Amino acid sequence: MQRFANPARFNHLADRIMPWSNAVAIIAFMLGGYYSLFDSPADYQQSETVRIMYVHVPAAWMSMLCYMIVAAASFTGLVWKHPLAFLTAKAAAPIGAGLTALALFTGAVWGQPTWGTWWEWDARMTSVLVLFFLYLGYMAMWETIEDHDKASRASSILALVGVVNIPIIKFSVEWWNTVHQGASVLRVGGPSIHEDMMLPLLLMVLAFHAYLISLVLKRVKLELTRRKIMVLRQSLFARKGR
Amino acid sequence: MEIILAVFDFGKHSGFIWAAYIAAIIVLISMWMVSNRTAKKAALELESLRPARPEHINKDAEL
Amino acid sequence: MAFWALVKRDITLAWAQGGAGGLSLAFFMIATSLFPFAVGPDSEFLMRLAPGVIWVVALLAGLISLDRLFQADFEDGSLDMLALSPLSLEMTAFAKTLAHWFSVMLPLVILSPLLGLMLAMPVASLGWLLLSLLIGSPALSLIGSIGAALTVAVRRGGVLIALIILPLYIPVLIFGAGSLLAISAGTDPLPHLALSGAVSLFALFISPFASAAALRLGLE
Repeated sequence: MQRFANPARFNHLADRIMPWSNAVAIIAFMLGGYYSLFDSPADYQQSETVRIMYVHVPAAWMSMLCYMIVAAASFTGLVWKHPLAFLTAKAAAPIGAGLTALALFTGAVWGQPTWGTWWEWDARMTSVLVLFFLYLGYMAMWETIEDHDKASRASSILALVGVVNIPIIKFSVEWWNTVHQGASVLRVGGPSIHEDMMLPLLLMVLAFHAYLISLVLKRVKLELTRRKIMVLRQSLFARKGR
Repeated sequence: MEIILAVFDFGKHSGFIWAAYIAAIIVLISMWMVSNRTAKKAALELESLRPARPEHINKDAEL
Repeated sequence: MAFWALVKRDITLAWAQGGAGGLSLAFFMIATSLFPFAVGPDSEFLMRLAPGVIWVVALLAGLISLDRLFQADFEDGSLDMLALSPLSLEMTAFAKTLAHWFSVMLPLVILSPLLGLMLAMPVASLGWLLLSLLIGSPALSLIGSIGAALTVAVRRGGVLIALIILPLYIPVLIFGAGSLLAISAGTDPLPHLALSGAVSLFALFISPFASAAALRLGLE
């Protein structure tokens, strides 16, 4: 772990990984897009609209994975005081927020033709919405505190408080949902998925993963550059002051 | 044009499928572009600050 | 004993002139009585809305007083003094949170049956309203104190507190207001109340540590 904490080493490593993850993302997106739109069966219940699943499900998974990255990086940052870990958390958060918004939107356009409603206060959709709010809070924390060091630690504490609360929120939302609606109306996805639908779904999941890796690395590099700028500025300022 | 439309015709729910995929493309590409652009801007800014550096290094060498 | 002295001092301050206690209580009453103007005076409808409205407004009333929970002491330097005192920062944060609950939340809880009556709640369920707030509201203060501690050095941190704390309030709201919905649906409210209590206990467990960690950061 310690070895990757060195920014130069990290930059070097990222530059070696990124071409590969970029290539995998592009190829998997193209193949997955083709299969999911043209070469996969229509569902016997949902007909063609099942094709929305191939973007909705990976986006929803990535939105959760991203929060796990934020939380794990925050934890690493707080415990081992890696500046790079804080930057990783900061870099992953906006991507997670974007993917969460995408999951919510695709969920809405999937919901309208299948259940006749844009938005259902269903347990899953509600949890994803809450996750989106958690991202907003985390990002707002970074924005509002000016001192970089303090902002990184304060937002990390928040991310950890959020992550211990996620199971409680999820449980409470599910409980609330069953109390109010009886058995859940939506039972999509799950293990009972048709074989021919697995291939496009897996391809899209792979594509989203590769995309996430590339973008997180890119943004961590960006945050590193920003820090360098900050340090240079401060040293310039200090010298002018002398 | 009609051929293209026929390829992307998914029956009566076409609009929803288009909306989902177009949204996915927009979100994925725009996040990529924004990150790219800010990264380039930051790199340029870093470059513009560099000239101050050699002098700084020399000074250290003199010391 | 320093612990209780601090609790007592904070409660006294909250109920001194211009303190958070009276202001929050007034907000609670005024905001709740806005609802009939917005949705109409139909008592059937108000009765269904009442538990949710009272819970949400109580939550917001607690929230608006949170941004001064640590900040006032932070600004005049008494927080530095408290950090240097033999009382650990965890206990200091907990004492101030406890004082927040006693001075801001408890009056709201006690007043809630009156507002329930105004919103046409049946008299039989007023006791349950009081009980659900009594069990759930400690979680509001405890989770809120984390937000207050994280934003202690942020000027005008009120909006930020709302943004970071409200999503975490969702379980409290679900179980708290849910017990009253269960009563109106004719089912057993006890599981809701038990879970509500569990959330409060869990908040009690993490809040002092998270708040103290955040305060240390602010004090650096």
